[in-house]
Amino acid sequence: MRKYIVLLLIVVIAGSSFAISEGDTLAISVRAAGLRAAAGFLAPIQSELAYGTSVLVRTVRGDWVEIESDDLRSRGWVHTSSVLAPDDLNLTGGRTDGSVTASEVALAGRGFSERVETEFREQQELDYSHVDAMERLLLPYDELGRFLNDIDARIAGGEE
Amino acid sequence: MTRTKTPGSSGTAVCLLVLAATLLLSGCAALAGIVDAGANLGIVDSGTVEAFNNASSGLRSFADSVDAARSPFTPEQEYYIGRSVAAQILRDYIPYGNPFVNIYVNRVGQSLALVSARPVLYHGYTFLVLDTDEINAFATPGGHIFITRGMIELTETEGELAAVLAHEIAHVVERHGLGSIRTARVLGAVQDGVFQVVDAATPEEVEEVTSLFTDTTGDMVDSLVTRGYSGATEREADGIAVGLLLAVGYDPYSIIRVLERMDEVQRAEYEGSRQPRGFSKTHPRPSSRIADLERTELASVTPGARIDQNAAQRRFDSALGNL
Repeated sequence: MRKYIVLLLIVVIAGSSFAISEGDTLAISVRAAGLRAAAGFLAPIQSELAYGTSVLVRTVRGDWVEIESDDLRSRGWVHTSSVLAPDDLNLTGGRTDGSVTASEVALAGRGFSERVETEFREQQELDYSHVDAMERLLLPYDELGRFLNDIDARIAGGEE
Repeated sequence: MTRTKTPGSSGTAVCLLVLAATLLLSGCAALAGIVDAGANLGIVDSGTVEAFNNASSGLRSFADSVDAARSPFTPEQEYYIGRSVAAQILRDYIPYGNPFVNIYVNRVGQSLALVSARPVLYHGYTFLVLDTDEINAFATPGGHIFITRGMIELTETEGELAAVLAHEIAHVVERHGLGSIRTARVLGAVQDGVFQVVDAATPEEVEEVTSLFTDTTGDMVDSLVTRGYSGATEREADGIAVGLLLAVGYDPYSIIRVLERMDEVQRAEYEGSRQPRGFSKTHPRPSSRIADLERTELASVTPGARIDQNAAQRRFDSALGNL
């Protein structure tokens, strides 16, 4: 039976840009990463972690990794494009304890950040309201799953 | 933040600066040893040692920074660059007001992004139709993707629309926009330590970073709207787009059909001696892109879709029929 959950086992057409192994310390590289109960975009989200949060890789399965926060309170699956090596976020990842402080996360946003955008938009007298409206068009994954299912899209790796 | 000041008045220090540059570029530590030895022997005074240390520290910082500049920006920085590039594009174009059209385009585009190598971005991929006859599409590093009404009107199937969106997604995945701003201007800013400005920065430092931000986003808008990327970059995006179409199940030859129509538009421009607009200004000739794809990514690919094309056509016509 063809299952409609074509996204559960989604396989990307290219691999992640860096090798990830169990035991690695990584950092969340998206604004808010939803930690899912299973490896797939349609699996329920159990908790969220913010950008820059340090995590330990527990399991690697294709392009999905099971991660755990340093405080052990959050554990779940994210796509590999949701995490990066701490160095890639300008965080100090080489420390022996692998931890990343809140101030380092703040520093990682140095340069081009919200503060600079505020200054820039005042100088240029730019209107960001359409950009904000555009960003609100982000659709839930289950809606995308139904959209693909409506045309019988068989995503590579999707269950038949 | 403490800025490193290079010594300017001492001729000895200037010589040392040059030597330090040579030293650092060659990866050799001998000169530092010579300076240290000279200080120990009393033939190099403490001021010169300090000058050398300052100079070499500055150069080492620059060398590190150049390495950093070769690395991608952080996802957060990509996002903020992308927002401001998008705001500048929306200064010159008007969004198409029909929300149903925009939601449909987002469904097609965001579904394609899911099968890309970067399905998750700092914020995510979002798409907006621009209300202009011009035929074009743009993508910012933050995942803001624009497609003009003129470009949509050139497409006849969901697969063809997907081909255009997939090409733009490829630009985001491969960070082509950021590549276009890795220029001397950015490296110069790195050399000046602008990227080292941290929190509690002075107003002057914020102004300096904002100036760089202005130049950087300006470079990007210029690349997107006027100069375009390199032919190789566009060909790479076409190749990735074919992969995305295949991954979802659209006919990979959808991209050829769009390019053929773009070629007709461009020929009409040439024959009418009209000023190139939209994609004609910024992209390689569609005929050469077709030839490249047929020689490479499509060489061993069988035409045809794996999806229910009737269902796709019904919703395509329903969403875009009254554009």
